[in-house]
Amino acid sequence: MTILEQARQIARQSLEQGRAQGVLGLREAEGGVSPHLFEDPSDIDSLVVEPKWLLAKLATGILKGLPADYRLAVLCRGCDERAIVELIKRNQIDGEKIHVIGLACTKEQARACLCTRPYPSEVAVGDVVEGVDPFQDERARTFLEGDQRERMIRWATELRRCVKCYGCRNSCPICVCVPCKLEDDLWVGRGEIPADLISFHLIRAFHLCDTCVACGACQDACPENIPLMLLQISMRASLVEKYGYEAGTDRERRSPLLSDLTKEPSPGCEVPGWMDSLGDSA
Amino acid sequence: MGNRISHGVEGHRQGERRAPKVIVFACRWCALIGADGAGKKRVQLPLDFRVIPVECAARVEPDSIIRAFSYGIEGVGVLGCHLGGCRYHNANHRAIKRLDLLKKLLATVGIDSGRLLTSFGTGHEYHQFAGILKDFFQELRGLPPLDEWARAATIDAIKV
Amino acid sequence: MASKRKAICILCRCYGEISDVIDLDSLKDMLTDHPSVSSVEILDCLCLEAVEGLSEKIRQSGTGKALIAACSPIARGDSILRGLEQRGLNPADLELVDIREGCAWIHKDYSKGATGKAWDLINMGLASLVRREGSEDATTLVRHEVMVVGAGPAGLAAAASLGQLGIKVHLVERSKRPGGMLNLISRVAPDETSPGEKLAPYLKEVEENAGITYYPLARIASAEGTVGNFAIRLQVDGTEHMIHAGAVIIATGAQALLPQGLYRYKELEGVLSAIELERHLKAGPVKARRIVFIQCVAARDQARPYCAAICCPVSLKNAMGLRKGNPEAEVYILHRDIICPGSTLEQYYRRTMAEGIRFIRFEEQNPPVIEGTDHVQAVRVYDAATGIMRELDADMVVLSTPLSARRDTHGLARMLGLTRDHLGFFEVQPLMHPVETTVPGIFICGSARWPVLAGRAITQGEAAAMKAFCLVSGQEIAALGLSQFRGEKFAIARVDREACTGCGNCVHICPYEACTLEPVNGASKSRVDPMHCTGCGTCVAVCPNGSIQLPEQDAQVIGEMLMQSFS
Repeated sequence: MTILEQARQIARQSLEQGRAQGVLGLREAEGGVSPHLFEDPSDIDSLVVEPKWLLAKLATGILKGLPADYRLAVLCRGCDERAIVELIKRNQIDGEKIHVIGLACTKEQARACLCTRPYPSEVAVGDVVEGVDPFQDERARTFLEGDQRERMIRWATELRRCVKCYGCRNSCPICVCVPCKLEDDLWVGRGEIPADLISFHLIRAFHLCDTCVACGACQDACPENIPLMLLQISMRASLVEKYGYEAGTDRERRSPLLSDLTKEPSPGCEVPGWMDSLGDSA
Repeated sequence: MGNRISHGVEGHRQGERRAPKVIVFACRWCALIGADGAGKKRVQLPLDFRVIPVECAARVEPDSIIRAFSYGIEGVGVLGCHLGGCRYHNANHRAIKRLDLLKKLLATVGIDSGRLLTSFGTGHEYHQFAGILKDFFQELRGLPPLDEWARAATIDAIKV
Repeated sequence: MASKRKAICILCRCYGEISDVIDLDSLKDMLTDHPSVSSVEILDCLCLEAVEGLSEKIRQSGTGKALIAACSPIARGDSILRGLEQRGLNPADLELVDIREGCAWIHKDYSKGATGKAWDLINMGLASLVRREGSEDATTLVRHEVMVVGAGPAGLAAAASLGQLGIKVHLVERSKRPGGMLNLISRVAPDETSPGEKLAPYLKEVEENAGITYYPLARIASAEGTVGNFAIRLQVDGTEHMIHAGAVIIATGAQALLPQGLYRYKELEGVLSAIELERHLKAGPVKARRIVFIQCVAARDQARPYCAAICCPVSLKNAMGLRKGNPEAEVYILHRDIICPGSTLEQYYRRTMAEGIRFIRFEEQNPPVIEGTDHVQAVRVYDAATGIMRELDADMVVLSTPLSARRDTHGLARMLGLTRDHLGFFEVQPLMHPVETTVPGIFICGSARWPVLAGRAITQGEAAAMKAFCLVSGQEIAALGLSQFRGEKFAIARVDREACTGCGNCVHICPYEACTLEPVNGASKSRVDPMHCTGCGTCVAVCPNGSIQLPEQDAQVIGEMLMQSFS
């Protein structure tokens, strides 16, 4: 059975067996692909699983308008599920109402996103492939490591093309705030293009430092192809290294940045004694 | 503290360059006392720093640090109490963790992470406060000016 | 919300200390044009002006808002502000800018630069003043009753003190008899009084004072409410009691650690834990003729890197007790250090040496070895002072272990919101608040906090009683006044309900667990408990869109200050 056939079968069964009242997925229609809420099993024939498209934010929105007992199945890739988990933790979605149908990405898709975890927690459709280490990618490395000045020029050259379309913010599944700091003149300066190179992009990037699920929606949405995903990579790696924390992989565990050092179960992060914080001047 | 990369001929115009501007977020329980102490002892300090007092270093938002850099402020210091000494029940742990992560982001985009000075517990005494500040200015003077970051956008783009 | 009310600027010359460096006249000229300034005045010396006059000047200037540019808050600044507040000025309308310690005194040779810096600092101050608001206070009525949990020496002392002060006390005890750990020991260190004698005055007060109710065999079933009015349900021997208390004092003590698996404990007869020795000593003279104490058992090591500070005085006391019962007994104390701080304990230590008790120091990496087949026969120890391996005949070995945190107080901790350190002891407010926990209205004394001898437990009990008394003796408690510092809290966090997304960052980061999420119209919104909030601002830094703020210094203020910082 192909991946598409697998996906359609499971989606159809979810509806027929009453596990969900609706399946949120992608539909091929009128020569294009768009997100669609499948409620009739006979519609499933038009369900597709390509291209990569995040449904987490859409799920959050439509659940608000659906009856309280509605169970929504969502056809999710790994990143999409991680986004849903983060939204559950942040009280934007009721976890009881969502049922994830896990879709694994192919090797090509993993490489295209430089994804370290191209699969959801439970895989119903497709086969699990190994993740990719972004630090092994030549192009990514030029944005993450190496000569500082060259890197600075590289980033400045990319970011100066920003036309402040807010596509990155709008498409990010985690970004839900109204009002949003990125629209505040005091913080990012309004009425200028390109956006202030430092404040707009770094404020946005750091707001997501511990909730970014590396879905790449920001990058996919950017009309100027700015490699926005790469802003997050070093921070994500640091959280894994210091605290064993990866956003979206645990429904209970909140960001380690919120807790006391003595309470956080952190591999490789010892509780420093008070003398340690004095550094060399002790 | 941060990467130090020699920049050769470009980027560092000693003569015409203005002194780096510095913002210091000082927690009222140690750093502010250190600053006050330095004043009482008449320790002479560089002119170009401004202190913003806060109740606790944990109050300092990363957004304000980033905004300071975007205004051309070359260095931001966050001075708090030592681990175990926070008057607000270890609130400073959160600050330490958060600022460490912010340094990673700054480093990624080529803003030297040494521009964000974090000092927890070493600013309480007058000579400590003065020493930290003077060292910070010294370090910042060794870095290329921050506005070069923005001007870099007009330098010939490297083929990506 | 930025206020349109203008402020009077008062600049202090400080008799030349400021004005010799900073050109106050040109500052005055520039400030007069400032949109947020109504008038400017230069005074020779602010602190010597009668605060009365100053407050009048501010009131008469029109708006009652004032920016004072003078010395640092630590110098005279804070006391001037407090003086103005006492004369009825709103603290939210006052801003202090330090241009002496923070400018004139550190840049004395750079008049132009210092004047420019002072201009920036004053502008930053005005930016803060314009947006500054006062936090809303919250008050609660307070019950003049206190619940004391635990009737050991600490709890008894606390209950007796409060009773004497006329406060109604509910003394709750898990077991039948009061006395706690003192019921298990032979004599109290270092004065060698009997436990009964030590506790007698407190027991008497508890018995005779009608305001003190003693509940033995009690269990706490639930605890709700907050400072001023805690509602606690007690199960006492089958009956349920509902207690309402304005404050709670925790005096649950600690437990003796048994030296499981160490020094052949339970393997050989004659190897005892210190608490078992107490039992023998209570029964009468101990027959053993050669007793060896080993100190620092299961303490000052990797797992427990602390000194419990009571085991040395206790061993000295027990050694003396053994000699008293059997003057022929040979007593050795093998130690890594003898910890007897203070003059009383030092004198006691010398007395034990004079008594003939012998001390041998060993090192951590070379612990003593116990010898014997069914019963202990000897102890081999490497004497660190002389470098000689000693073999001591012994028919009793006593292992001194520390007290460790009780394992049966988890439920209590959870119900009351108490936090524990990594060793399991309850935490107190940091730095110089030895009897106040991180939960307002809940105090702590005795070994529940850290192992202490009975004398200190009693002192702490009395201290906790005084703190509780100060809290419950009034009519009302105001949230802003519940600061652990002198004066009031800096602020109480405020949530903009509309903007709040319910993400819960503030809930999880608050060191005092002051934020909770409430369901509002199908969404979650954060709510701040004003009694618990201390105004530290930790929540503000992690709120993604600035919904939670400190009215005295919100995020926008910082942004504005940055904009004004370098003109």
